[in-house]
Amino acid sequence: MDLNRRTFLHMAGLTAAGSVLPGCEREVHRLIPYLLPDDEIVPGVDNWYASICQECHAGCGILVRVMEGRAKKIEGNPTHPVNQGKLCARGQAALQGLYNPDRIRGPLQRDGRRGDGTFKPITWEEGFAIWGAQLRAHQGRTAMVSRPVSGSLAVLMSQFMQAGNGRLVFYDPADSHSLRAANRRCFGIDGVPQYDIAHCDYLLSFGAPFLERWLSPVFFGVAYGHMRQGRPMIRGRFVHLEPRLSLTAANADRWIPIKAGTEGLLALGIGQAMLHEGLVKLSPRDQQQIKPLYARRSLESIAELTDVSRDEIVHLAREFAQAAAPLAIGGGSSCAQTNETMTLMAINALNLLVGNIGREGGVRFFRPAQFPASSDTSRSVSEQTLSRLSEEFTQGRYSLLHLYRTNPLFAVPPSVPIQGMFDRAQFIVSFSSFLDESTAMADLILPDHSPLESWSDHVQTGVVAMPTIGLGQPVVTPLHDTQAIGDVLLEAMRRFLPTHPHDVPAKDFYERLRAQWETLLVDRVPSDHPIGLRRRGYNGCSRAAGGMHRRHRSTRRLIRYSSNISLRSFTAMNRNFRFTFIRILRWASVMARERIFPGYKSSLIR
Amino acid sequence: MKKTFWVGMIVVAMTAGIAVGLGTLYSTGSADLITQDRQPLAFSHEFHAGQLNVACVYCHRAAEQSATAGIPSVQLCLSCHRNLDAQTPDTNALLAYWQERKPIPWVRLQRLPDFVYFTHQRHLGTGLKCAECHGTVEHMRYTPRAATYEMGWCLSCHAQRGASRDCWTCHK
Repeated sequence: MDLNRRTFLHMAGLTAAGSVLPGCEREVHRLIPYLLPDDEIVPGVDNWYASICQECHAGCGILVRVMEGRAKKIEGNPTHPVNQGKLCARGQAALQGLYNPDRIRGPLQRDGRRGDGTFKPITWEEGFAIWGAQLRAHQGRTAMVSRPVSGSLAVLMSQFMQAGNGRLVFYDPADSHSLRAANRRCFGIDGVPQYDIAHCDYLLSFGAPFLERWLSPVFFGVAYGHMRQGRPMIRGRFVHLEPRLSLTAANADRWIPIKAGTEGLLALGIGQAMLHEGLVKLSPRDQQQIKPLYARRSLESIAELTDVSRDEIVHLAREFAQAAAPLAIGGGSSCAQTNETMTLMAINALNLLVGNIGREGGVRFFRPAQFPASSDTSRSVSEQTLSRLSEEFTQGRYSLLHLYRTNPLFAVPPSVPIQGMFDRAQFIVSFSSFLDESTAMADLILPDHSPLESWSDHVQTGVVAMPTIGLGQPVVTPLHDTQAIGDVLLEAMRRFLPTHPHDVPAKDFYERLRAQWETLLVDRVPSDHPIGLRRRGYNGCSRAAGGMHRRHRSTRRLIRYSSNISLRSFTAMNRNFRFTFIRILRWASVMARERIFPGYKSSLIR
Repeated sequence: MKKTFWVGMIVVAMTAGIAVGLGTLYSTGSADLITQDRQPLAFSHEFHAGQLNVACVYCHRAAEQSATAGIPSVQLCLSCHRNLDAQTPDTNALLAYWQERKPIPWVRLQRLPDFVYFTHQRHLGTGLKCAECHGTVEHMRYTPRAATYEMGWCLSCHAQRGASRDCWTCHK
């Protein structure tokens, strides 16, 4: 067609007229009443339901604004000890997960070759029948890889896997194995302490991204605000060492760029300078014992390897040692190398040198709440264990794989061989809400509710001083044809697994959870206390007695994310004085046992 | 000359046609047409509110506590209609909705644009009666819009009663 000026003008005119037409569309003018009224719903009035956020493992308390049965907004719960009314962007965005158009809307069965991503919808009854047949066929050869869950669901999951004689593995790529490993080796405590950022006055951070994503970012955000501006006349100083100018680094008073993987070396340098200048708060006997740890390298060579000048190291050492309440923390980029555990142990040693362990403004360990029976079930594993599990799938030890809200095919780096798990598993069941890389390999998908549609509880481990348990409740009725994983597992135990009837006492997951909370609250809430489980919206914390984690694993992470030349040199050096390290840390452990935590003596290992 | 005349006429006719078309589309979108007011059931305010003397808030339950007055659930209609002595074709139509478990698609008569902030709760709280804005529906067989619900109408009442005339009172 010839497009001359006149035709063009005609078309432009028609387009302009056409674009006006949709504006004349009629507005929605129907009023649709409820068939049955809901007592809790008044049209136009919002209801706020208290629950817990499940976007990460921090377990923040949330308040969800619900209008006419639809969740509209999420805010932090002001009475929750973790987030104290604040909430991060990820927590705010949990609604996007609820309403996500890509959510799996009902049970699906693979239709085509595995991995093609073609599925056909089935009913729940068909789904249970297929799954039940597989559970019976693969008795004793089942495994489940899940995101770390805690509380009642963790206990139920482990019971389910025990009933089928299978293996349960919690995996999270962002978990802090090395932090726990370092604490285990330094203090004999397999746990995450409370880093009391709020009350310290000098914070030396070795790459810990505590304002972005580390451990419990909202808690640390609140604590950081207190450290900087919450006390009259005291403004805490914050020095951050990281190769990259991250958001946390940008907030620091001083950001010191450092060569990646040498953070532990710098911690040793700072400790050495402190010892040399006599700035250490230790008895002469203890000083004599710890000295060999710092004797291996000269400050000059440390300065050369770390890219931080000798004067700088000495200056940092003086600042750190002379502060009233210094605190050293490590994580993030300093835990992304092969020497991560060593690095964190060197940082722990810095805290030992200034004597801030067990003090306000320092590193404090608290007993986590023991709920329901044990919180040890929610330990997540490293990539090494995952690759070993994959090997066992290849060897035929396991043949039925379950996946719950985890995506190892995406999260695990390609250098870790886990593909075998997905290739060699005879049947894969996923409970995921989304068709991610791992779920696309599944043969059967039995989608879970969104966290905003289901009951849950969360046991806080570390980070906050108070033993904390959060209770999550559904705030909306399920949008799609999904079922809560707790109910699905209970149903499967009842129907397909050789369990005794008394092992599955509860009708559904809610009933089970409720029974566990009633046991917890029965002797802890005063009878005149207005809080009770009957009232909707209760989200509380409770002091609970219990011992420290007793179990400890000696697995060291072999699988590492990256390596480069400067890193290798540090690793090689580590190997040379590992013996010294272990000796020193045994000493630290003894010290911890005898002096720092006299009250916890009985519960420590060894 | 003659040809020019006809071309002119065609242009005028086309312009008029487009104007009428767009005008119709505009008016159906914003103003009220009689056909739009036809409800799916022959519900009479005159009978319920007038002869039976049912209070407004018995059915429009949210009016005193919410921005919207709300319309009754089908179950609320059935609480009386289930026990009628004699059913008429119109009441049978209502029962049919209930038996099919379907809500009644009532036609909305009163509407304020999204940019107006209005709450029933606040207006009833100051002692206003429903009829002052919605008319005496207990005397109306079919319920039309009782007022324009436009800004001038709101403001005249606000001025008369000494209520706030600040822009942000209604345009938040």
